[in-house]
Amino acid sequence: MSKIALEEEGVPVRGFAAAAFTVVLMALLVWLAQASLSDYVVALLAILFLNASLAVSLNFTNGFTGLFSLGHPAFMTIGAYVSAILTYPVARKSTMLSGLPELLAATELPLLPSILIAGVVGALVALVVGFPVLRLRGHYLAVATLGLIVIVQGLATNWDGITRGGSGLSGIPRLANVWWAFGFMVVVIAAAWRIKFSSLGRAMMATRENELAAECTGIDTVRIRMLAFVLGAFFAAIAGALLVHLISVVTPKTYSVLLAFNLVVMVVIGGAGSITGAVIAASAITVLSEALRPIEEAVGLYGLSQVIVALALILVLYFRPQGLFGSGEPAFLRRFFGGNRSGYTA
Amino acid sequence: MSQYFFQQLVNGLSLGSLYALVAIGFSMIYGIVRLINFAHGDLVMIGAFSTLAMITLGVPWPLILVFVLAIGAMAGMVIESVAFRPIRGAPQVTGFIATLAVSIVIQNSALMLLTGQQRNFVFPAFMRQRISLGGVNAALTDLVIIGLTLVLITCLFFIVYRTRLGTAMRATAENLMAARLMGVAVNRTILAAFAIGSALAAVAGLFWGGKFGQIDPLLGFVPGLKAFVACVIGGVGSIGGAMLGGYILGLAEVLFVGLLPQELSGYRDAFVFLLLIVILLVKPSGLFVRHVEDRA
Amino acid sequence: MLEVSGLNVFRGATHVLKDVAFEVARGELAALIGANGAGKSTTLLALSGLLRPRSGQAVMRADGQEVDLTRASTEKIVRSGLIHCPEGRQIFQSLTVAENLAMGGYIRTDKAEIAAAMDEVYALFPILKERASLAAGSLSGGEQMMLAIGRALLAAPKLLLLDEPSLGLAPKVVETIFDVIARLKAQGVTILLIEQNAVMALEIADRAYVMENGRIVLSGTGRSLAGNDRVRQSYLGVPL
Repeated sequence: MSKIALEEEGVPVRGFAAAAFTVVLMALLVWLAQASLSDYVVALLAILFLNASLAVSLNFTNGFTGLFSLGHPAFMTIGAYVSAILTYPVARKSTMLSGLPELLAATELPLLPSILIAGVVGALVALVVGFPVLRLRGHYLAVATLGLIVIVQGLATNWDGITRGGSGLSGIPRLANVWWAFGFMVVVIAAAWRIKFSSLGRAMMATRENELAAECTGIDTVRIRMLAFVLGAFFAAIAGALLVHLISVVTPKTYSVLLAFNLVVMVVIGGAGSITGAVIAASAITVLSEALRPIEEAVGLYGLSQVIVALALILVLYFRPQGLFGSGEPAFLRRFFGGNRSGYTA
Repeated sequence: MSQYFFQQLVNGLSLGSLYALVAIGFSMIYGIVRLINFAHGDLVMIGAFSTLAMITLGVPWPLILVFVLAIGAMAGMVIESVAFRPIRGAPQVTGFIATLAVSIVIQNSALMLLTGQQRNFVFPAFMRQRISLGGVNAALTDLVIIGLTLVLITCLFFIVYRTRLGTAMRATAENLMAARLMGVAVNRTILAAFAIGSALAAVAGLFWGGKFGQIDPLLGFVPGLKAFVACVIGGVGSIGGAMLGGYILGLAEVLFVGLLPQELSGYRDAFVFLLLIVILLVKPSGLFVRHVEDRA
Repeated sequence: MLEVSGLNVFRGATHVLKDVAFEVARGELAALIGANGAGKSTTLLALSGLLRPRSGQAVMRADGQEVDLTRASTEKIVRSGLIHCPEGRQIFQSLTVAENLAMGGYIRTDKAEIAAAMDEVYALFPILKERASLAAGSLSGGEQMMLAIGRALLAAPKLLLLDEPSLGLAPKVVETIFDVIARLKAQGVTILLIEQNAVMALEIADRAYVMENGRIVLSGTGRSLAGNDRVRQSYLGVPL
């Protein structure tokens, strides 16, 4: 069994410097936006960053490794509740969340540890759930992960002692802001990029393309699939945790099949396995949905933007199933940030 | 037999009838085009709302049943020719995503037209009475559901196993290329399968409304997913298995809710999916294994 | 009855059939032999409409009708009397033997005729009658081949395309199958036979073609090709 390691792919120092430069540049833009644009736009930007992170993190499972997982919302829900419970002011915990064990009821953590713990919890759940679920393939796996959403929603609704059941948690401290979202997105993109152009990434793609062949070259596909699933869950949980500290409420139904679908749309339209594609598609869809909202309200047709997104997906599936970039990244970005041609553009 | 036990039995069979109807259609579609049709559950919703519309228009009940079958059939055929035929032959997951997209379009279109609020829906008064059967009694609604479902299923089995169309459907499901070489008009045969399966799902919607009393545009998600579970229980690709799976699932769900303490009854849906995951791992070919090919 | 010219068929990006041209006259048995991967099965797929050629002509003439095989739907082609018995038999495993045969007669409407045809097939292959209500998947390889041919016969073929009938069968069974093929020929059915088993094919063929790498490289009567040195060396296993 070969050891998969994150090799240095001869990424030149220039690649790292380029990345750092881009991050600083974008940070400046965010600062500018915060200074000059309305709160609404800044909040939208934060959501956009988080959606982009979610779409990119979905690439670990769906894109690179070919595991069709619809389970992201389940992990988001877990992450959201875990971190919310951890940051919830102790004073209110006793009244709102009476079922909490003593240790948790007495704790009140700042944001960073709480989201990290949320991420770890999400990853652990994925590890446990992954053992049975990842034995499935193709659309069976997809439906099983959908079942995960239902199970987690069921738990959240019924375990009211610690989740307040169907009414959900509100009044969660707004500890997150657009900078947290930005930082998280940078981390996710960086991790995805590095992994993609390493031997781990190649092992994932080999597993996606042909499991049997991958096994024959010494890749432990079981471990790879689990790793991909857990990574995706980790980031999804953190994203859920950050979201909940942005908008201050969460209910069992907040992160649902609809969200899973929308994330899949972003990955498909961007191209399964393409980080750039995921970011672009996520941004476009976030902005589009927001832009359509006033129209929806004006005409009284709630659900219109969702229908448009779904129709767009169907059209993409007919006419350009590989999405914008297939599973590759545009050449100029690869030259700029380093990373060889991964070879799987459709 | 105690009243309680009998009541649970009737409940289970009645719920099982609903699941069986949806599962059979689901299985027919999966069998013939290897597609897990996520939008199948939404046909239940379409059936339920069509029924409501016809009640409001004052259509007599026997006709409502006939029209719901027709509406379901047409809806299914439209969905197949517009959304699924163009991607026939695409990879498995692509097809599934497409059915997911279609489901979302249907659900949200219904939301736009009808708003998300629950509508009430009742069977005529005489249906809501209880019938006495030798010492125990049961709701007529449940008995009618169970009885009509058996009739519909019998008709279905007749079509599938005793008619030329049915043989063509089974042949196409088994080996599309060979069926084409027999001169089977494959597109029309697939349409027929969708029509029949969808009609059954729509009728399940009629029953659903009558049984639960409330319908909303998003009601299709749960029956759709449960139909999948029922098919897996009974053996994917087998119509008889789907039917049995549906009844087993209905009875199991009622049993689960009945046996467990009150606080846990909200977990009934979660329980069903846990069951799914367990079965997919332990006996993925289903409890009633006929000759089933693993296309996964 | 069958005239093919300039046929070019691509599978994906691969050019499989290159300018293929051949004929089959009415009542003839024509054999198409060649190594694995030469393109023989692809030819049949193109004739029955399952694959569309990029260019070329393929026309079937029967009973005063002319069918353009490159454009007509498979349904139309089958209804015109071209019956393709595909490689690997492709019977309907979960249907009974009788139901498989009934599927063969799918395009026919006259119940009496279908029943008579079924009886003929049962007379030809008594073992099928024995197993009539069993699932076809439970039959042995040879029996499945008989079922496949019987199924094809139920369609009352004017032109029968047989793809590798001897594949995977024991020699004794192969003999039986070829006996049946010879009988069909005697009854006047026009047959295009694809075989890797060149010996048996050339024995009963009126006309034969050799295909190599998607091209027809030799043609002639069955006997003349059987005596051809190149054929003998490449396909009949006779050392020079």
